[in-house]
Amino acid sequence: MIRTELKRGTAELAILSVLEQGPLHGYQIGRQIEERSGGALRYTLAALYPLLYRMEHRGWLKAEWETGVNGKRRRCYQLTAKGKKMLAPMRAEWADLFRALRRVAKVTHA
Amino acid sequence: MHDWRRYVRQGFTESAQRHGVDEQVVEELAGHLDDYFTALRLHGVPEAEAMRQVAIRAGDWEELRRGVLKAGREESMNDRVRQLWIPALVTLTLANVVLALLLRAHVPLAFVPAGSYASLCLYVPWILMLPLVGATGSFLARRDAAEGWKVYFVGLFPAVVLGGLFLLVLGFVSIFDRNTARHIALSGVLLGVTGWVVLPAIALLIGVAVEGLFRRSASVTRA
Repeated sequence: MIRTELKRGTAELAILSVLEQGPLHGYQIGRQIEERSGGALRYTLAALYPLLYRMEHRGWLKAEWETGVNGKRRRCYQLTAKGKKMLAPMRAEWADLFRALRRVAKVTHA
Repeated sequence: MHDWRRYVRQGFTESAQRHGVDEQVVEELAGHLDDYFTALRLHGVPEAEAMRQVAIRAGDWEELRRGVLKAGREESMNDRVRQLWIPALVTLTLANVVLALLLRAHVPLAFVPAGSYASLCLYVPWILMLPLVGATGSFLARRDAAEGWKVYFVGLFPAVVLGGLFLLVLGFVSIFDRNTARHIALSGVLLGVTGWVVLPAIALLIGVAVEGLFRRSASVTRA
């Protein structure tokens, strides 16, 4: 299981990546990240929502209330142009970090 | 049927007497927990276990409350900087650069009504340029979604600073240099304020208003 502090650092990239496919609301974002990471990345509300709000305020995400077919209101997040621009450098940054860690700590793929 | 909003409010209230979290945030978090609980139940998880899982998913309420409030504070601080202070500083700098360029170009600046004791010193070419400065400030502020008083504050910022300087100098002189203060005529102060604060403010306001009109007509055309 990945430690909380470590997971937090990855959350921005994980959120931007799942939203690349299209708009999602908070629960769906969490679920997609969990599914795609095979259950390794699982965020509590305390980890997910403050980050979503910060990313929204930075202009990386745009959120709008939508009413689903079941009549339930959900706040849907989507990537802005600014958010899309952040993805490539962020991915490169993480790739660099993993390469460096592999060299230093001899971390290998499972 | 669970009242998830109540559940969220209760969680926050247990962590702080006055939680101060926006009702829209409560609604959003309640929606998340509702979806999670429904998904667990659909997978055949018994209700009690589903509730336990929901509590785990919610995490630490105090941490969540602090995180949400901090994100909100960051927003208002960032918004203030983007909508107010950066455009205001640009407007102020631009007004001073225009004045410096006019002085450097030896444009005849002063207009002094002949024969008057307390002359009205007007820097006419500068004042004529100020609507452009005000419009620039207004454009920058509105571009970052500033509205109402913020746009006017940004547009008027050079005049606000000059007004502040006048007050500061007058205050300083009247406290520390009583001899000079005795020789300052009220009419002179008023004329100085008119030439350096009031008229520039009017010129800047014209710029803000014209930029607003342009923006409105452009949005009407787009619609």
